[in-house]
Amino acid sequence: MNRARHASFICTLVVLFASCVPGAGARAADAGGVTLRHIDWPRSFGYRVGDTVPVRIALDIEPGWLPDRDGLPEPGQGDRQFELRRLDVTDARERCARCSDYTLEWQLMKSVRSPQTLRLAPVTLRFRKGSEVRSVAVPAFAIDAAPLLLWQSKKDWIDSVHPGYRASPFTVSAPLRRAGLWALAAVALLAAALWAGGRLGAQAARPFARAWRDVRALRRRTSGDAPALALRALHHACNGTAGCTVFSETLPAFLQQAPEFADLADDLRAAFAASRAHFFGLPPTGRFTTLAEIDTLLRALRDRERLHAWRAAAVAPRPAAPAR
Amino acid sequence: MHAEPVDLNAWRTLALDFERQLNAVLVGMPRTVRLMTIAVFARGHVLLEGDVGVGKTTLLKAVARGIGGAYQRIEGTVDLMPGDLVYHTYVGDDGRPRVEPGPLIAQGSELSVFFFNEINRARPQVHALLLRLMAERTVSAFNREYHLPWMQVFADRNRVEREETFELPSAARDRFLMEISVEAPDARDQLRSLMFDSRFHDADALIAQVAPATLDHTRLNDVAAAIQDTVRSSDVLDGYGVDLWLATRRPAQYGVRLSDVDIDGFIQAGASPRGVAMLVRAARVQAWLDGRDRLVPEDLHDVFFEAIAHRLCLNPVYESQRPLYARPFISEVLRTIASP
Repeated sequence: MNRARHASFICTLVVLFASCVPGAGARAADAGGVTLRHIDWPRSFGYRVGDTVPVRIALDIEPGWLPDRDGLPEPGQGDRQFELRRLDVTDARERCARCSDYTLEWQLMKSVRSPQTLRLAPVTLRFRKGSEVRSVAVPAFAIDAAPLLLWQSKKDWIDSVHPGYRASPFTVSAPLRRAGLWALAAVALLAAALWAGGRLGAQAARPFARAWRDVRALRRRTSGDAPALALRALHHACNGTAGCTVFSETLPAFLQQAPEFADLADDLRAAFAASRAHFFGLPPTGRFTTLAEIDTLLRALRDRERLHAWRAAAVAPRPAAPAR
Repeated sequence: MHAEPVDLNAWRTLALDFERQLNAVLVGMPRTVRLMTIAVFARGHVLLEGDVGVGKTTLLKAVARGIGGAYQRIEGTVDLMPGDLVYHTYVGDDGRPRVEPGPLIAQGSELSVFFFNEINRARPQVHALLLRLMAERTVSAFNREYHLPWMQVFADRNRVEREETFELPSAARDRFLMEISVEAPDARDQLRSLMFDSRFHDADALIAQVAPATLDHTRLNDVAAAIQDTVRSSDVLDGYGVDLWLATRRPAQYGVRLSDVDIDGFIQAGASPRGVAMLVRAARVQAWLDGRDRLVPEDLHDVFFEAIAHRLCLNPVYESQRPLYARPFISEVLRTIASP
């Protein structure tokens, strides 16, 4: 008799234990009409105050069954340890044709002083179809929570934020130095490219350097007005250098004023003649009708302009030191 | 009017020959002669400016002889009245009063050059008559209308003496195609020729060297129209011309600067539409004389000062010193405005 009682008591304990094990609920909570298919439990460790603990419950709900009034927990409910933040209901067709996922998102409200196991209380979901009522029991669940600690010092801040985790420190000075050198090289390369392209320093403001850059940019144009625009750029550069408008008749005076271009006088005259032909309808001269020709002339003018600027800078008197 | 077509090449040869003959008579005035030639073929009236004895009358007589047709001259005086230009009265041998046609209509339509000396000594009433004469080339007298289709007015302003003078109103100035400066040459050998070469002492003999009627004055209107039809402009040049015009009206906006001048208040009124039309008219003749049928900026430059400067109305502060400011201002406009 005692043996039978013992056996019965042990069987009861086994059943009770099985009902408490996560995942076992799916098998045990078959209420008919609403069937618990599966529970996705969250991880059971590494929580701190404020963290959320989502529990997803997959239910197979036959047609006509709806959540009963007060049959679902309301956001804001909970105990001193956990509080329900929200309850989401989504279709879960991937599980079965009538399945829905009920996701309970709990938030840990308790700030523990030392690592501690906390119990998430069991929940019952109740459904009704007419006068019939079915309940689905979601068993209790336990998680491990850790305290938030103040930083004792910068030195061990990783340990203090994440207790139990040992970060392996490494030196960053070498990678930083390497990255700095690469950045320096990139900046130097960029500066060199800008300088070579005439976009840096005093040469950026020099009229023929600017005109040559503009004409180079015209090479990408597919329209036929590129030579005309290039001739305009040439005129603007001449005007900019002379400080006034340079026309064919004043070209000799311009060359007298800027003798560094004297060896290009014939080309300049030809370019101006081509410009007159193009813009004023005179007979074409046959020269400087293409972008490449004007580009070549402007490059030569830019070179002489640069050389002249360097020479001028070299012979310019240095400012006298202030008297003591 | 002649209906036969104009051979512009042949006329250009004649024009250059006319210019050459004038240059042979007038020492060291090639630019003045070129401008006069332009005025003749643009059919525009001309204001002459220059000191006494520099050759204005000689120039005009030579031009009149080369053009052909009749030449008349009148002196501007403070008591000159409009009627004095169209008739004069006197008592005849028989003691009866006579009324005869005045200098404007004495030769009828044959008048080709009318020289008004010291025009600013004449009263505004005379200027008013002149306005109509220049604009319409007609004058009313003896109850009829006289047409002067080939007449060009050449007027001289006395800029030295200011007493008893009446400055030309801007409307009258605007009717002149150009104001041309007649100056004695600077070159030493030319001055020596003028001084010691007796050929230049007898103006009548000098003018007689010009072949009479080198240009047929009755064809000049047709030739001028043909030139204006033949010499063409371009879009870029049109834009340049408009920029030049606007720069004379709003110089500050176009970046024109003059030292020691408040450029914002410098100009009271820039060139008029009639003025810039005359500028282009003269520029086309210049292009034709240079053997081109297309206008280039230099054609505008060549006549810009003479065609525009006298039309500008300067602020009164600067107006009294116009000779000091007008040319630098025009030069600065040409220096500043770019084309293309």
